[in-house]
Amino acid sequence: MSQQRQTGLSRRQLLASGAAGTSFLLAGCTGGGESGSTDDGGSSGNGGAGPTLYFAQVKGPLDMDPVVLNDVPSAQITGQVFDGIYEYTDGVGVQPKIAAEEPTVEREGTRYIVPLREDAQFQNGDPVTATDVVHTMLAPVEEQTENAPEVNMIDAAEVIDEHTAQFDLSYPYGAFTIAMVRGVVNASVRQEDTQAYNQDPVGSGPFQLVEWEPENYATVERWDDYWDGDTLPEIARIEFDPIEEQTTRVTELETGNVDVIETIPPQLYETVEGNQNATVTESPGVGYFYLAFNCANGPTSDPLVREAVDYCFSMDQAIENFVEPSGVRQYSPYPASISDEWEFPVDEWASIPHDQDIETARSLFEEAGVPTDYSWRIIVPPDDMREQIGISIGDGLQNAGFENVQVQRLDWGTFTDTYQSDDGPNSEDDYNMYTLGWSGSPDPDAFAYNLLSQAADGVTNGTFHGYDEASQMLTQARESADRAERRQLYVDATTTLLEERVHLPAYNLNNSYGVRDAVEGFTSHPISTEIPVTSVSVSR
Amino acid sequence: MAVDSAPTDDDTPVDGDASGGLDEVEARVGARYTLKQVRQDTTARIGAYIVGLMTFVAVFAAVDYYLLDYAVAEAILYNPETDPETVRRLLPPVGMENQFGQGVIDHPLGTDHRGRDLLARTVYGTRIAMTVGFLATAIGLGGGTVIGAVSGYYGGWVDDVLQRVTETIYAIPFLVLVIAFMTAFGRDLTFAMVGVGITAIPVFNRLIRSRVVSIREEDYVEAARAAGVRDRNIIRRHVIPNSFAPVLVQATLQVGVSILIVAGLSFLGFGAQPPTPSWGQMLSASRGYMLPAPTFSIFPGIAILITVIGFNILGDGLQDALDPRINN
Amino acid sequence: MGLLRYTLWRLVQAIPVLLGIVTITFVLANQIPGDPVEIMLGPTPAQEQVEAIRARYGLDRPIHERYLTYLAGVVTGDLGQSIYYDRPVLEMILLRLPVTLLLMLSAFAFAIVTAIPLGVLSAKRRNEPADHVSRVVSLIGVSTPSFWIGLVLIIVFAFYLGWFPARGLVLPWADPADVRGAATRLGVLRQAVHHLVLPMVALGTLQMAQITRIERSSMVDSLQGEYVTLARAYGVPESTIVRKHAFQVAQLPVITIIGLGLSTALGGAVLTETVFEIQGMGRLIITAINNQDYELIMGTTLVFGFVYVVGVIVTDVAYSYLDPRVTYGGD
Repeated sequence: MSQQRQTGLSRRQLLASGAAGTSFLLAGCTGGGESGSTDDGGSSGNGGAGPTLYFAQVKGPLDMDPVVLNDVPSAQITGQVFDGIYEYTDGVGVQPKIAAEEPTVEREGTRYIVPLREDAQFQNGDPVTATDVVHTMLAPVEEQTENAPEVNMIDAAEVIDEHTAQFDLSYPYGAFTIAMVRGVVNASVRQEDTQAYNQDPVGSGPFQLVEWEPENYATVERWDDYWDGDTLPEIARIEFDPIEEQTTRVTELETGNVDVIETIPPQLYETVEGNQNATVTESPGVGYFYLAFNCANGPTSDPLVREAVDYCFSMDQAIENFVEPSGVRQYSPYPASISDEWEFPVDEWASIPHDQDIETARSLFEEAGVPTDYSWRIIVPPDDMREQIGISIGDGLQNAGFENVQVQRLDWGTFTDTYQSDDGPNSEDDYNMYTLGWSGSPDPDAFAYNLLSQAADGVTNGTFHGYDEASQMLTQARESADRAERRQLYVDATTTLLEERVHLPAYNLNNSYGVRDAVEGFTSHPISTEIPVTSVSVSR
Repeated sequence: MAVDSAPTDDDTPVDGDASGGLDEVEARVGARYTLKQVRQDTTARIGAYIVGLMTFVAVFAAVDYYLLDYAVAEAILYNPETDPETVRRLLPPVGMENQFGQGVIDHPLGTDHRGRDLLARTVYGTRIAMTVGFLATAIGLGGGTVIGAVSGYYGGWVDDVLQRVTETIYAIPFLVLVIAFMTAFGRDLTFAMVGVGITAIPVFNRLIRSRVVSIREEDYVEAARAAGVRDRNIIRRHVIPNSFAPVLVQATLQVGVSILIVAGLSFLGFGAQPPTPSWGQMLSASRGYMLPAPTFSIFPGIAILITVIGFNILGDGLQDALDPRINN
Repeated sequence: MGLLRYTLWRLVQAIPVLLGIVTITFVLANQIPGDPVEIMLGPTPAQEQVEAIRARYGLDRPIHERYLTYLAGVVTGDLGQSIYYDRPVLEMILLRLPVTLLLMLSAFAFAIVTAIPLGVLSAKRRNEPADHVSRVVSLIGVSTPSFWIGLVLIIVFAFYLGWFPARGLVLPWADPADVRGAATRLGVLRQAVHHLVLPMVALGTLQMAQITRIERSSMVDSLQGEYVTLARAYGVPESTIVRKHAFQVAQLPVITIIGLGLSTALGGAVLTETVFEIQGMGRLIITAINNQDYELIMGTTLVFGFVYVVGVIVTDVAYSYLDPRVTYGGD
């Protein structure tokens, strides 16, 4: 069934009619914000023949401008509308897209020269040039947007010529190519009116944004004049709808109202698998969920005590009960995709945690001199799984004879307030332990540096541990451009920190998708913002 | 059909107030009379039984929790907190089967998502519900009576100011108020209780105020004022006791309403914090399991329903009992 | 005091009330621990980012300055900028308010249209089977939490029977191209109704049951009043009695209940929107509070407060119109 293309005009009509409708209801109110005025390519190619894919996200999008956005649902959609300078492969490797090839690295890892393709075009006909690429990388810091930390290592950038961009970094950063996995924006259109660009973006990707409403829905249609025609998808239109309630999401999949759903909770795996017409496809994401100790104050500053806590309960069992099958056990800060890529000694790390052994735990606590009436305080964020982990540990402590164990579930605001600190280590009254998670770019630095290095103390690292040597190794690893050197540094530092039990690694979540059989070629990707539709087809 | 005081038998005053001859003119309704009326009305009796049962359960749960530290519950029912190895999660009630297993007699109503017995949790949820229900109503009653009485008696600008202040507080959607309050000061059940109490104030406020306004015009009140009786005492001795009947009815109904409201707050996560069981919070947890284990969500809902019905029919019964005209 | 003067006087009095609402909410919102920018950014290593964004939203200015700036803005119709959505607060409100109004008004209509006839019928046929059924139904209606009704409705009618959708609302004036399953304007209307049924019933049941009960007891009272007995003695036909004499007087308590119910309905809307995943004002407020989006919190609260205050004024004016015995504004 061929779709009647929505021109830019009717899109605006809807917005206008929406505003008019509401102002008629609120007799006399002003008509709210009217979006920008430039007509942007409503005349070029449009979503012609081809099926529509109905995709149910967990939450709705907030922004459509890659420079501004900072949430997964928005990125999933803009990933269709924009091309990146580099893009992810099927795994966590990186390949050029707008770039023509790998960048040239000079000046001991502080200068990156990026050659660009000459045939890339925006949906309004403008060619993609180095000016756009440079603006894409500099704008977040210039405008102080939420995702600026991803590119704030750039000191200066230069347009060498129309198809070559150069970036000078303030320190050598081995993972810079990953920082360039970022949608290229049309600099001239965007700088005319950034607010309007967020509502009506212009990208160079295979899909054009038709309509969207914050937190509510988004629709994209295939751009038949896509410059990289060989990779033009078969899907003509994607409708993204958020369904927050997991039961509803699964039911919509069962009834066939949606084709693909995101994030299946553990108790519903069987339901989806049991459905004749759908299957679950999943891969571990790029994430890490863990228990951290207060290594500076309180009994947990003693490694013996931390080991005793490890003996109190079985993390394996807790993960099996509360996380599987929507997550997997992880024994280090690095998700499987990174450990594989970097060939980390996962088996060695897996042998560090202890099974539950209450007797040994008790004797260790005694040896360390922790009184049985000590008041333990475990803080957890407002997330069920992390709360369950905290509760399991609390139960373990109670089994070991401690009566005063408190597991406190705090709001995000209060939680971050508590574990972050401007003035040094937090007291044992704030917390002895906390559970938290992290998902980041697929480089070991994202996990190790932010969570375990002393440079991140009080910001993203609430352990305040005193393992200076390990911490320095993490800083060195971040700055080196030599892969082998980096790998060794990470292995050594991580092994030390795990053996000293600064963290008790817990689990990683799968990116799980429920896919109806009518959809072929859909695979899950470790990076949750990637929804590859290039080789997807739907037969109805 | 003359409308005046209640049928004569047993209309002894509620409190032993010695204001002499004024008693017969005011339609005071005594406790004994009320009880007799309630006993005669079947539905009201059922309501009273339910309320009594729930109160008993709540007290029992409170005693077990505070004094015995859950000893009774643990003796009767399995507690997975102490023995993680044999957790059985999301079981259906005894006699039924679902994807998680067979129902067993150990857990007559089944288990929740952490393996805890549903019967035990539902029973213990009564404690929270009843406590909040009564205390919130008490707050609303106290606050609303004072404001309404003063407002109605003095009238004029005092009335305006007090009514507008009440409106201001009530205009902020109470859910927002309570949630903001609890986010700011901590998710303590006390705040929830105060918040729900505040929502009850306008109800009693309007009730008392309209009673006061109508009573204030009565001759005996004018007489008392002329005789120099202080306003405070007039309010205390004549106005408030005279409103006893509708207030009792409203208070009974309001407990039910408060229980519903606190269930809603718990549902959104702003009531009793885990692991303390509360019905609203159990319903919220059951949402994620509606498909594989629908029985999880039934029992807390039924508990709320029965409890609130109990208060409602008791309140209705009291209203019928205390309203003289209907008795014809 | 004349009716018009009274209305105007009430409207004037509404101003300090609204000011009070803004102030209380402002104080409360700023008490919430944590920082909206840090919540938004999540754990991030770059403190300068946090500072810069805070400055962008004016969060680094002292509290009394922010308060006054905000008030000045409100008077000119500028409700500030939402930190979480990065767009003007007014824009977000205009996007979401029609949805909630649609929900509340239809629940309201459902309640009134069902309850008043039911209550009158119940009163007329007092103690007959019809009355008993109606009383049981309304008893259950006031005793059940609205979100549970919603959950049960979803399980039965959306999951098992599949008659109605489990989530979302469709605005009746939406463009057919943006509505799934609708090809024409009429189709959009059909979809709108389809999506509205379950949430409307879930939200409206409590009001309906309350109004039925009050209507019934009020009608019973008035049907037994002196005036009515006299009219009956004179042989005035029953239907006329019910219609002319009993009915109007009986509405007074009903109106009070409706007026008081407005605020409860706003709270109920939050729960209903949560259960049915409707993107309306209720969820907007909750999101605002959870993310400490100060100006959004205040903007949405102000709108709700405004609606409520208007509702109260309308109720009081209607009350005094219908009952000339009641005088307002002093002796």
